[in-house]
Amino acid sequence: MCGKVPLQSYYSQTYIMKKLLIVVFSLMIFTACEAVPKRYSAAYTDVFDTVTQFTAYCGSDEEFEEYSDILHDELLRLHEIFDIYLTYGDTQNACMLNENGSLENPPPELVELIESGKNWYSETDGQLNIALGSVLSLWHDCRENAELPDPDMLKNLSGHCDIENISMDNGIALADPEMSLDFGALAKGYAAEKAAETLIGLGLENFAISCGGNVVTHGKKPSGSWEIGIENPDGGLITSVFVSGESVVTSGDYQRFVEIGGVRYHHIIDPKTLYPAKFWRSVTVISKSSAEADALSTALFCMDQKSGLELIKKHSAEAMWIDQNGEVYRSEGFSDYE
Amino acid sequence: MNKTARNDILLAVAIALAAVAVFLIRIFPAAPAQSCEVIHAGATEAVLPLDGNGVYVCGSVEIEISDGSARIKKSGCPEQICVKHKPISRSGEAVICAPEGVMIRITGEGPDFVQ
Amino acid sequence: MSSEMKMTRRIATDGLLTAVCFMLSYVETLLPSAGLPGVKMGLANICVLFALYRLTTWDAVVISGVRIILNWIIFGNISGAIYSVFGAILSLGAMYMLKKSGKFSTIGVSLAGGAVHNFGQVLAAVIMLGPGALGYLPPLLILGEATGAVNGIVAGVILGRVKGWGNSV
Repeated sequence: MCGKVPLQSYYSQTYIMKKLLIVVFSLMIFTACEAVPKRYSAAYTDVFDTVTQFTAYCGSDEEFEEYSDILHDELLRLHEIFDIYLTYGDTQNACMLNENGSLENPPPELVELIESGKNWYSETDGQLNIALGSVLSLWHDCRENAELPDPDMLKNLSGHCDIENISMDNGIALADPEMSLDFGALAKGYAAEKAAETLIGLGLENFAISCGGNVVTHGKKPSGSWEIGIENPDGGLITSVFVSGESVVTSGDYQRFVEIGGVRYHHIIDPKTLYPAKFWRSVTVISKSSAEADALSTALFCMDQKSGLELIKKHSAEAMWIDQNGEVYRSEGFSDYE
Repeated sequence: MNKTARNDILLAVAIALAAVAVFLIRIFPAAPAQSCEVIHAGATEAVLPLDGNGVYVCGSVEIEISDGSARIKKSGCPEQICVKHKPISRSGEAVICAPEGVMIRITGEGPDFVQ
Repeated sequence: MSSEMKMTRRIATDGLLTAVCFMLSYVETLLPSAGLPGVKMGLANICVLFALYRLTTWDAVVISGVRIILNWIIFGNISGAIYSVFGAILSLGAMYMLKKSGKFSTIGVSLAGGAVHNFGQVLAAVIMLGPGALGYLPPLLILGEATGAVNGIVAGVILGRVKGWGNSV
């Protein structure tokens, strides 16, 4: 019989059963491997002066790399438009606007962001002001040198922060030559939202982008919603929120600061006092729109809880505040995400 | 003990061993789950285990691992935000030095992002 | 007996066993369940074993399949049905091959059937929920073979005491 199988067994029930089983088993394993998408992550450090992390579930390395490159390109493009420190060739960007005082042919995104800034100014009673650039610039330089700004100089510069001086009739023009715009409160949220829209339009279903603490999510991970940890300013985590499609933004006094004479000076300046806002240690906003969440978190950081609550209610968002004593306050629907 | 009984027992033991094998394979890689990923100019340059002490240098940035946490010890950047950040040890936590283009991040199970 | 009679007899036999199988699978849901999901005694497997040893393999397949469909129709649990399908296909295959080899007793065949059935369910879970489900595999394999061994003993006793039902009639 030397290894030869009798002809009959090719048609026997046993043989067929065996083969069928192998096929079925292999199909199951195969679909199991294919059906489980892999988690990929990438980070970019060259946009918006912060780190952007991108995590997505894709079927292959190539697929992820493609999306990652597209995301990076889009963020870079918007970063260059909103950058107030550098110009980039012919691009009519924010830096060029601040230097020249006007732009003839501004990119539509810049126009959109400025109009958004104007709306937020009136909604927040001036607590969110994109025209605060000159004051913010002084603080930025002072932080780098670890010294306090001269109060008179601050006062002086605050006179050049009138948002009404931005005219949008013919391109963009700043009526006050000593005024400058700063989009720090809005740019990241807006850019993350636009970039995410691009990815969604291209068919990516499950991903999250964290642009320096501005998180945009879409879809889920295999184990459920995306988990965003909110830091306790004194160390550790206060809580985690779980989102699928919503955006989460946290503004905190522990993110960017300088210590001068033993006192901490953080980077979110209260337009009324011209000094770092003292209301809260941290404010977290959850909203369907990343651009709104970014604006709201900065605005809420510079206002008391009552006004903040009114504002987020108006925009169907939720918020969590941590005050100077470590007390935590939540809006009604916030714990639905915990 | 007759033949089939012996085979039965062998079979039972084989399945039990398979169960133990799956258990071990899953547990062991999972145990040293905490490591610190060093990302420089967008690419992961190194993954440093958190158990152990040492200093890793990336350009002008010095990263120190000690007591199960990581921190940026020194950096050539102007604002020194990264150096002032407290040491990180939990999954998802990260410290960045934007001017130098360096980020350290703790990887493993846990929050996807921490802010 | 004519072939028509044989077919009729076969349908009746299978129907009866399917009904018993279905009842057993319902009865065991009334028993307290362990901490892990999907851990049951697997009593229905006793019927499958009986069919496997006393009737033909296809009878066992039919009884299993129809029982799963019945469970689905009556209890409406589609995902449960999917898990059962994975478990049943793989465990039937394993039991058939072990029985065919002739090297194992009913207890051996049954304990393998129980373990492989649970393996199939974990596989279904991995496909639907992700690799985290694999954590359940080690305990489910052990529990599967334990309950399978018990079922095998019971099936052996039944097979020994119940005459007929099969080709010998």
